Amino acid sequence: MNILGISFFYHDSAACLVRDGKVIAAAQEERFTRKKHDADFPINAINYCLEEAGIGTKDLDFVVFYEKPFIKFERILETYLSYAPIGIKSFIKAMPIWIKEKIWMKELIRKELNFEGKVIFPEHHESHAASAFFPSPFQEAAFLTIDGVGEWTTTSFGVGKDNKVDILAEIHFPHSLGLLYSAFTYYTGFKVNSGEYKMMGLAPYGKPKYKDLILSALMNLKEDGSFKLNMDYFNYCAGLTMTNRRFENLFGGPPRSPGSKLTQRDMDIAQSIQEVTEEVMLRMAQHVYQETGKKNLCLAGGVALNCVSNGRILRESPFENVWIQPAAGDAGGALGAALFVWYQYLENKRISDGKKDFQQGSYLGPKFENSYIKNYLEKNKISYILLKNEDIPEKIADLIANQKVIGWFQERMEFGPRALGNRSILGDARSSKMQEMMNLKIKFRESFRPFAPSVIEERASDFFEIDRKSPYMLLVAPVKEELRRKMTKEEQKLFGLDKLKTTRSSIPAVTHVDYSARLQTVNKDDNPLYYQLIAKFDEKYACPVIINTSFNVRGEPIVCTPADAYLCFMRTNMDCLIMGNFLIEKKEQKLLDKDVNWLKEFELD
Amino acid sequence: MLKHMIEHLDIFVCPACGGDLQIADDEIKCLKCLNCYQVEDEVPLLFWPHENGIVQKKDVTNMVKKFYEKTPFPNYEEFENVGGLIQKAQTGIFARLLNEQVPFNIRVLEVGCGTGQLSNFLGVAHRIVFGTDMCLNSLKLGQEFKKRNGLERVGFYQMNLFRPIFREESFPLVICNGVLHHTSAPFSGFQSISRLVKKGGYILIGLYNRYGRITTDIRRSIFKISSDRFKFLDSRLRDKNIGELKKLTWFMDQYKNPHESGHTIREVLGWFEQIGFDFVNGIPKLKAFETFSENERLFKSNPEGNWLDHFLVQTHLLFTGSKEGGFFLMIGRKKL
Repeated sequence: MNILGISFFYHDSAACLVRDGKVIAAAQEERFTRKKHDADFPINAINYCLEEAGIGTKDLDFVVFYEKPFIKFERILETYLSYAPIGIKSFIKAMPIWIKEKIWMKELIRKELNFEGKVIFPEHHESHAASAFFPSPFQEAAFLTIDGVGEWTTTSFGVGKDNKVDILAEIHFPHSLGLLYSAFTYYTGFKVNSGEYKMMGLAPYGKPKYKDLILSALMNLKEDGSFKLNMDYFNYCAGLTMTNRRFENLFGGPPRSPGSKLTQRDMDIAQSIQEVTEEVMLRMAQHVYQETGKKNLCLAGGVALNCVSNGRILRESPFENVWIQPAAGDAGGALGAALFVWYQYLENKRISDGKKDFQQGSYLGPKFENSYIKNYLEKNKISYILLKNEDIPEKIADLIANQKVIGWFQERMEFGPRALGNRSILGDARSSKMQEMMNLKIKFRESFRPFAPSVIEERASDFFEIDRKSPYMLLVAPVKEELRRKMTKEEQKLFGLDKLKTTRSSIPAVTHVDYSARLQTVNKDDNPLYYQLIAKFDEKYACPVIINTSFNVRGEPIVCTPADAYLCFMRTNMDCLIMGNFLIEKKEQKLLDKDVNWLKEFELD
Repeated sequence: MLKHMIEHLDIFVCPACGGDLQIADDEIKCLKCLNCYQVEDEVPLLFWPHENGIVQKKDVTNMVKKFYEKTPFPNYEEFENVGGLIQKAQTGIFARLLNEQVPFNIRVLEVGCGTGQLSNFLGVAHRIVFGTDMCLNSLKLGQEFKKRNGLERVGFYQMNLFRPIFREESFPLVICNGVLHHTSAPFSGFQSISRLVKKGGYILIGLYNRYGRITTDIRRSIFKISSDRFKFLDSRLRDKNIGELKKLTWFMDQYKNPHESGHTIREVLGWFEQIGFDFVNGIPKLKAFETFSENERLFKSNPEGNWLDHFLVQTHLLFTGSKEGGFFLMIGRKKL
């Protein structure tokens, strides 16, 4: 039985194909269209999923859309009505697309896919809950889903057992932890729905000076983690911005304009909202534990990408195990929706061993064979060296040790926002200059942004304060005390971005200013080649940790095809690119004097 | 220090006599006429005046050079790293399309690069870019940005476009955007730089349009008689989102430039024909009612249009062009 899950029309459109309960393929539309957070109908992602499964739309048994459009429309109308006439501008802007397309979702899906079968619409947070619980390794677990907003729900918790997810309680719009975080993302000058993780990365440079102000003026937080926002300070219900004048007065100025210099105040604000978020999530987790009595917790929803909070839940909440959906945002809704139908709607049996999850390392996207890559390279006259399988780990380990920055393109693309060692840029974590160098010259992004380490699973606890695996880079853990470098008196006096100049541990490139790291543990079964590479680096250079950052540049989606990878490689200062068995070195790229093909040379394939 | 120049020394010539150059101890010397050229802040000073080294009092080149030495344009006020530069470039279609469509691994020459923003942007990707200008202060800003951001494939050189420092047919792409109209002899300037284009290579020329510039000319006259009291007549100068320094450089560049000329589409097509270039594309498009798309193939051949098309396109520029300085851009391909 083939079930296609899809999510679109908000942000991060995606598709996922589930066959007889197994996820066959899943991908975000942005990877194909090269439009970051593409919200359009995910036709390319769908085509890929069908192709991977070797079927056409006529072979689909169900198509599942990840939320209920009519209830969402009701929420939008009701919200506008309650604020009218304020918000008329935003209303006029939003309505045509709703009336023309969004509420006719079933017809739209049928038409786009030429599909006559059944189309099902679970609720937004049911899809999130399903994406959190069904692929998890647990037979029974509590779940917590937190995001901006679905239909009405912004937060939910409940219990997943066998083949069912059961929502026990919800928080409703406009009271939303996701939107509160986004409001501060907007206020600190980052882009809503994409800049949240930048603000999270900025937070450790600041002090929580505004935490009490947020808790006293902006929200009424209860002991159980439920809360109400003071809507006098927000504009997102009816306006075109997230915050209003009153909010600006409260925090002493207008929002930072995007691109302008970050100040200590921005950092303090970021740290304040980060701590509030952690506080709320911890209280929620505590409450969910009390209410459900389960020892396992599953997380999903955009806020579950806040890995600093996740790390604290793991360390400080009573739950023994935590599993987080790697595509925790709306893209993962496509996967959750498809699994929801297979398990909950069709009541198929689900058995898990309590150890291994069903996410397959989240390597659920397209793969390109060596023959395809070779054809691309030769067609475009790109010089390369062909490496034997067994030579790849050593060759790349040596290059990394020689301070080269490597584009690493292997096997199936990851599903979710993190690159997990198949579409990654790699570097030496031991280098004190690598963080700034890779940020400014490779990723072209803000110098404060931290890089994540990949560490071989069995050595993780030698380097980080963590006693379990973190395969999806969704947990933050402190670097081991003994690896940290003590700050001199002068260094301790530094504040703000000046902290970047200090070397904080023996793996400085992946140690954030608060000594934390958002780590990925690499398992030899889930990703053998990547594991071998890091193991070889450890063998030769006594360090089982390397930098792993997503293979893209600022503002672009992670690369999908060899053409995307090559273009990204050539448009940055990366030194080498390894695609399958083919090594391309920047210094070997010859100057083209003749036969420059201006029209076809680098068209995407 | 002169790594970029040393790596590509094969294409350099002496601006005075066309002889081969030699670099020793960071000094550049001509092997033929034995002229020596200094280097300042890692920028080779290869500027050579028009006629036998004699600078005349009313020489336009000298006047414009002095003007830009005082007012480098455009400035780097708002961003300090490559990310910011990319972000800025991506907001305009032209730079983005260029970056997407100019092949990698080729040599690109920008004549009149000013502070080198486009050169630096194009050199982020794997291209060898030569940014030249006669204004040293502008070049120094470009060089400083390049150095700070490790853009090793970009090199900045002081050059008089009438006295090129490169061998003929050295570049598959020569860009000369917003420069020729500040020279005393735009056609001669075009002739001079067109020699540097390889056969089958492209030249990209940006000029003030005679008609598109009319509103700017009117504003300039008003500013002149009112002692710059009515600056609000220019939309950029009243835009609150633009910084003061940027406003000042815009104002100086647009209204206080000591010399500028206006040109027409027909005129540039004539240049192309005379020198041996085929017209390829234009911004705006030369056929009336054809629009320049966001995914335009810059180097794909387009129709030249007829006199009526040109009349309509330039009339349209009269009403819309002044915001961007009444500019038009044409791409030509050197005949094989």
